[in-house]
Amino acid sequence: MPDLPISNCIRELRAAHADMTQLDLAKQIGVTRQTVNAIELGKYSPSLEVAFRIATIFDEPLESVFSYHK
Amino acid sequence: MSFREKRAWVTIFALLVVFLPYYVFMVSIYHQPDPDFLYLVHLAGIAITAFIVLECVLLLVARKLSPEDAGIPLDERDQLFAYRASRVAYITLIFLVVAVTFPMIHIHGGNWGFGMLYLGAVIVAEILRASLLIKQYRRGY
Repeated sequence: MPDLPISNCIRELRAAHADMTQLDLAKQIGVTRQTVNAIELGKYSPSLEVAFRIATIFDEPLESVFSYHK
Repeated sequence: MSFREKRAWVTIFALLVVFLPYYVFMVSIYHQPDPDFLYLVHLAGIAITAFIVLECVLLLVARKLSPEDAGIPLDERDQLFAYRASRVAYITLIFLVVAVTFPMIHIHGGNWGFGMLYLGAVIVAEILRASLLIKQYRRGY
């Protein structure tokens, strides 16, 4: 698994939003369910555009969804 | 397994199922003392047609098995995977084409033989591209 410096709390946010499924989120942000899964597991860092779309869906600022570790 | 991964498996399967027997059979005819080149051309046409038909049929099956994924356009992760796989396959194709072309200058082989080597280079590059796609979809990044 890649050692990505970006982590996220998308899984927790989905759970807090009426148990939104990965597929529901994927459809709303215009990616595949597999991509949402890869982002959640920290295997893939999304583009800035997709990151903003995710934050907008959950009505949260970007930095509370994604965090950067040096 | 996502539709994209199934699609890559379909490409590998169709290429191997059609072109492996084709090359074995074609080489056996080509090495005969007086090969019938019209027959070889027909054989190549049949192989390419069979590949296209088999790939289309298997893609339809894959589409039926993954109806949710099939209609979705490539997202940024799919595009990244495709770019990485195509880059390696392209470099391999260039290397193989050069590797076939240099002997062509020095060895007076038949045009048909070299043409089939070029086709083989394309097939190897395509199998490599599909294999790299599968590897990336398997590991997730």
